[in-house]
Amino acid sequence: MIFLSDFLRADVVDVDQKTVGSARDLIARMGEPYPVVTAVAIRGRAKDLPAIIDWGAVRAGEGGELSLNVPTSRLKPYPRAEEEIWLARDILDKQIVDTDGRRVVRVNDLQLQHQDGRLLLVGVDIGARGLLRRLGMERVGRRLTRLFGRDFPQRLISWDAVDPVHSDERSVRLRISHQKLSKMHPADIAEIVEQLGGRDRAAIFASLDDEVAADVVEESSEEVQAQIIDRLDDERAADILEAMSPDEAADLLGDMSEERRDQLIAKMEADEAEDVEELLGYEDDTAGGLMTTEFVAVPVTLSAQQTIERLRELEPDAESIYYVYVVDDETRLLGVLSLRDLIVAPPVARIADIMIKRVVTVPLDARAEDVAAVMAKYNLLAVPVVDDDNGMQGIVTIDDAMDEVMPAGVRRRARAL
Amino acid sequence: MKTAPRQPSALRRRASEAVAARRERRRSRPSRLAGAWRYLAVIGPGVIVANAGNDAGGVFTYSNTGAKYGYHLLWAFLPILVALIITQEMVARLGTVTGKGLMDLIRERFGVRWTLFAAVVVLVANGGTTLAEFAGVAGGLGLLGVPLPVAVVGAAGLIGVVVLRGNRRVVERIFLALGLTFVSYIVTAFTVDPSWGTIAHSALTPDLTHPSSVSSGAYLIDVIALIGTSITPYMQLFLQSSIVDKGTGEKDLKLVRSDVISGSIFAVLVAAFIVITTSATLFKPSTSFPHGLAGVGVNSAQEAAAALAPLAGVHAQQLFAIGLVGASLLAAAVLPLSTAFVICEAFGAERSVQSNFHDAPLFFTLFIGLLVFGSGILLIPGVPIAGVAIGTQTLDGILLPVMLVFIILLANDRRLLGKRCNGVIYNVIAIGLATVLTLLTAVLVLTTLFPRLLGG
Repeated sequence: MIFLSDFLRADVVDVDQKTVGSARDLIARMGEPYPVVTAVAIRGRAKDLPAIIDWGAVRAGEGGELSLNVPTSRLKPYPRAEEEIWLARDILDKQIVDTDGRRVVRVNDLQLQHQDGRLLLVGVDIGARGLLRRLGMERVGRRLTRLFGRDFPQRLISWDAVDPVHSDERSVRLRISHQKLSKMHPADIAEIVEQLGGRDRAAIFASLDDEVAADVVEESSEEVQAQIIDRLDDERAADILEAMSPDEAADLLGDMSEERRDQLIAKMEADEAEDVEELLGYEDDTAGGLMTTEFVAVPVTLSAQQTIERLRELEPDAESIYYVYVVDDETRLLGVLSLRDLIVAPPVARIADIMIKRVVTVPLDARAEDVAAVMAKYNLLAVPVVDDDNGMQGIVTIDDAMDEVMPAGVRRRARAL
Repeated sequence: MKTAPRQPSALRRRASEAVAARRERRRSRPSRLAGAWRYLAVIGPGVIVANAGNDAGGVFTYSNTGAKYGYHLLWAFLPILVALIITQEMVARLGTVTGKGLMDLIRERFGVRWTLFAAVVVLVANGGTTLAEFAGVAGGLGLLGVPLPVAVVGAAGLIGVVVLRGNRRVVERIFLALGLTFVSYIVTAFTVDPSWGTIAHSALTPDLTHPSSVSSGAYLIDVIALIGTSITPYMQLFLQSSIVDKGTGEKDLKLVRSDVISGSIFAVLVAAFIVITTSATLFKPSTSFPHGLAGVGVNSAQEAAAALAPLAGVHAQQLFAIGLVGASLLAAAVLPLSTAFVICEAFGAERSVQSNFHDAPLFFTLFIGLLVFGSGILLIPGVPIAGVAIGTQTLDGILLPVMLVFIILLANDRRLLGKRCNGVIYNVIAIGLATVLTLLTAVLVLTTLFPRLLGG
């Protein structure tokens, strides 16, 4: 990543590699979606150098150093334009307010990006890392955060998400209110996220905590999911994947390149990684691919009271608590209890006596439509998936089954309701 | 039924004219009233800031000046008044026209480094000064018979509750009311019956000679301390932030100016009256002045107040103590607020007395943190308050020239102020003042760091 402060720190050299000044400011023209750098203003310049040099006449190096690719004598004066912005003068250090006009933070640095031979202003750095970079102490900060075993996070907002208020020069406005965002339902955030550019997404995800971020990813469409994870650094992506339910995480990882997938799984906690890897072995549109490994299974020897206590201990996800599966020592499925059965049974009753023994199950390789059909027929909220040996492998919940069989358009309309 | 005649009689016409005239009068009266209201609505920051400048440290310095040099240094207050008005006016103008705080402008114009430097210095210096203010509250209330822990905790609690719970207008009224306690100094001055003829003469004739018992170095330092306590960086920062927080617009610039000027005049008058009080009572030169001996001076403001009792009666002491409490209380509220404003502005966080904790967490954390720090440290026995005071004075001395340069540069920025920029003559005065103040504070800082520099 390259930043405005890199350019402002570095020298400008002429064709003979002689230092002729340094960059005072970068001048850009408003463009869609990103402003394009058109010229550089020079400070402490050699006598024969114009004050402003056209961007076409310079070449930018890795660290922001600029070298003229035309002899100084052949430089033409830069034509001034009305709609130009001086990045350091007009945007850097300016106040950022959110959509409610509340002051949020300042522009600590600006992120630039080379694209097709042009330099674009793509993002606004609002983090402490940007602040330290301005002070020339980014390395110190990184070393410090590494002491605590963390990577120094970048906090960037995409340029699309900010609105430079030109006329009053007072502030730069944030188009999306981050505080509001965190209070929205994940499904609604997902809706917004799908409409945004990749950088905005990254910015939004930077502001969400792992749990919410995981929910938002789950609610997003497949392509968007992959794009989101692609934009995040491994550490953060792994955190979000851990917070997702294993089946969703596995689906998402399944769509990625093998290399990236292995990287992410390596960063995940061992437990979660194991679940996900197991699920990854199944085809997407089969029961094995649809199922989640988060379900409640209890040994057949328990009483009703003990089972309820076990449930409390496990604190399982809401999506799977409605059915309690009863298994033997080798996790072979023996029966099922609904939550209702458990509650109305006398506390001392053995669950072996009250469980329903004829459980509707689907095999690992059952097709998605068939799974949905079974669930619809028996009015199930979840159906257990078993292997050839009747060993309990996972459950398919109703929402996952429905997602698979309903056309995408219908789902979206349902969400809007 | 008959309808009323269409042609009004002469009588009726006169009556309706009278009614119209009365209506007209009534309409014009509210407009005059509204003018007064607008004035009341705009004044505040300038008066409050100027009064806050006469804080515990100020009362001490003025008392000491009077006790040590009598009326001799009264002449310094006229140039101080001019300097105060000029700097405050520039700052007030910047705030009114740009709608941004001083630290906002410094960050946007001078970048991260200077901002960080100023923010750190302000945080440390104001923290120390807050401590000194609480010491002043405790000292003043101590003379009135209130034990220290009660005074300190009570003051911190009161300030916290008023600023956090009261809305901005209430807070401002209370601050203004605290300023009224300064009148007690003026009253005290009259109770000690000074010689007004000598005072008028000393105030108007600059006299640079100094008593033979004081080395020229020590004398210079006392003069600088007098100026330094009257014009401090936090005053400029707070003034501009609170004008912005109030939302005063460019159309009210005249009123803002009169706010600043009247505040400065009142504050300098109060300072002069403190000098008058202590010099009429505590200053006892053994021989006639210029070549004679200086008075003894005092070691703290409460010592000055306590010394008043045997000489001018117990009421003089109580009035003086009340003034000290009011002064310290006001500054103990203003300093944490000012610091919170400055730090939030530097990093772009929400800052307003009008918002709530949820919207401006950093602002309120800093404010409460400084209150707790200032009052809490004082409860620890044996804290070297005097050492802290010298340290903060040095820091303020380092920051003041930087701030003055920034203020003058900003006040000359056409992109910011347009036609409200400094004029040429204004600039000459302002730059002259800044130069003198810079030199003087440089001397003060150097002598604090290297005590033997001036042989004092």
